[in-house]
Amino acid sequence: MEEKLFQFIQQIVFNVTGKSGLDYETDFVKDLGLTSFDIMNIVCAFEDHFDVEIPNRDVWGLHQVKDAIEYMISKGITEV
Amino acid sequence: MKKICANPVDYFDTVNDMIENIPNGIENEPAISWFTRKGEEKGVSYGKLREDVRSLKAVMMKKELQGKHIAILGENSYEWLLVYFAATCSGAVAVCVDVEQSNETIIQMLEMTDVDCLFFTPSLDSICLPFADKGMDVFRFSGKGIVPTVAELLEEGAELIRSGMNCESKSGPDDTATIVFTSGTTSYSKPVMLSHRAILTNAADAAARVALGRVTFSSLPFYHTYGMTCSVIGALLEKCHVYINGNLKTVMRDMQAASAHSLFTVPLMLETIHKKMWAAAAENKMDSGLRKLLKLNKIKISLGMTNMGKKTDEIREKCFGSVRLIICGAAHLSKEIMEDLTCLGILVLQGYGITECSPLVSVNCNKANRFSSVGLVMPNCEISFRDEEILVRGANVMQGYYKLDELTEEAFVDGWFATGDLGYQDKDGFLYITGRKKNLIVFKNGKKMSPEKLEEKLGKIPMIKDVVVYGAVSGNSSDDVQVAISVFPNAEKTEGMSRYEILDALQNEINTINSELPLYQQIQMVNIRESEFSKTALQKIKRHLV
Repeated sequence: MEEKLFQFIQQIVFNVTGKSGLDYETDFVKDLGLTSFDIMNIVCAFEDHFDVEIPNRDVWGLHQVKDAIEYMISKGITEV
Repeated sequence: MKKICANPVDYFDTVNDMIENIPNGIENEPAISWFTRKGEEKGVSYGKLREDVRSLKAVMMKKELQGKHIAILGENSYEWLLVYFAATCSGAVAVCVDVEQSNETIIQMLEMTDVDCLFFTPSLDSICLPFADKGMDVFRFSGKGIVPTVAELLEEGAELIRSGMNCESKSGPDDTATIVFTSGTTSYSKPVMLSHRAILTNAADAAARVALGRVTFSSLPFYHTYGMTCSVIGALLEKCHVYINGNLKTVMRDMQAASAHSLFTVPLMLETIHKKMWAAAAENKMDSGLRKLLKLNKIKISLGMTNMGKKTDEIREKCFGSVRLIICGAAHLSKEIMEDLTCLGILVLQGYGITECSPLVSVNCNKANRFSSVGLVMPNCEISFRDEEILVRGANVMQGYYKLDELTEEAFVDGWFATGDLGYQDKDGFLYITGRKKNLIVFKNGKKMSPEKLEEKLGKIPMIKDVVVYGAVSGNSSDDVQVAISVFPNAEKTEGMSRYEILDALQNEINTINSELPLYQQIQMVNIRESEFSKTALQKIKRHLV
């Protein structure tokens, strides 16, 4: 399940920012150099895909790819 | 001094006067609009805004909240504005809380301002609901169950008014209307008390100086004075149609959809759009064409021409929709971006403000704009200088920091508020900011240096994402200071490089900068950061944490 979520995140990040080569430890700001606007565009793509709303306060706690995967699981998202 | 034609605007003594004096002729005109997450447009007219404020105010008066502290916790929304207006109209104090802060800091802010009642957005349930268990009145902006919502209170208030409740406001011009926290770039956030007169005078001054056009768009957080005083109250005094948004997720989409004439924002948003514009041009191999076009436009502007041509219009509309005027504040916007936007046919006005001054001290005007200046001093405000430090006096200055008498006393010099910012005024009255007093690096030779100028130069190095310049103690005595820089590298430009390689490459760039500086001002130490600088909600680096 985690692998599927990982691939999904990879795809969305690529679609929105054109960045690839992610691993579980990749940090969105430090490693990919994303701005707060880029991150919010990614979150938007997630929200549109799953038809959910992710509070901005939650977003700032998601630093690495693995944090995003854990967050999705905690919200009951297991299928993509 | 330059004489500036002021736009006609009404000055009110209290928020209640402003709401109650909405002219009958504009009752059906749109006042506040917004887009839902799915892009559906919603909005209220001036008449509906007044009706809703009256209803919520009636409930607050019934609950005897006059004089009490009502905290507002949430991102920008119509409910946020309603609570602010109803609280201030009812004679209560609106405590505006920065929700970008950690849970712990938010709770501290609520405790230090002796909050009696909370209105909050559902995403803050975990912080706010425990206050209900302690017996406090808590209300949610929306959502079902648990605690009453604003919509339910509006119904209750409408019923109270129908039954003839007396809702006469007891607030006066010198009563505290709001407590707002400073953004804290130099130290911790301080609670600033602002009177009705301070906010309304400052908002009317802003409206008198800047003509926004019929429709304006604000993406500034309302819990800071720049957002609330200038982009909401000032715009309402101009009888504008105000589109609101406080969400980075949808701000670009909403700005386009609003078809606004003017935009209130901070440099980060303009930098992002500017970067995207050049990236898109480069991708389509049109960057040299764009450069030529902007150069040509610069010549047209210098010749007094206003029509930039169809191509320019297309690019501008793609980047900014129908926006032709941008009011940018809270931080310094680079000259390069200002010039590019000007050449796209957009007027960019910079201003200078500080929370303690409600916030506006000066702003450029539609017909009197100087790029490197922060504009002319507000009509109801005066400034003077003490060793280059800007001092402010006038109706817009705060009453003090809440329950921090010692700090309040320190903040004033002979009745003038000491801003801590350094600057000068030219013969025409335009104000220029040169740095921040607390950031000043003082050398052993007695010379001083503001780090901001050097930071702007360093910021142009592509491999630097963020940089802070500071004085590092060196040698045997504590007053022996060297210039040091702390750098957070741009991940994209330093991909695959080791720390050593980054330092090596940076050193070459720094040598070039150093060659133009006097010896004592040259950069002697470079630290590479692994984590990003901690920033405030307005994206300013928190210097005291560096």
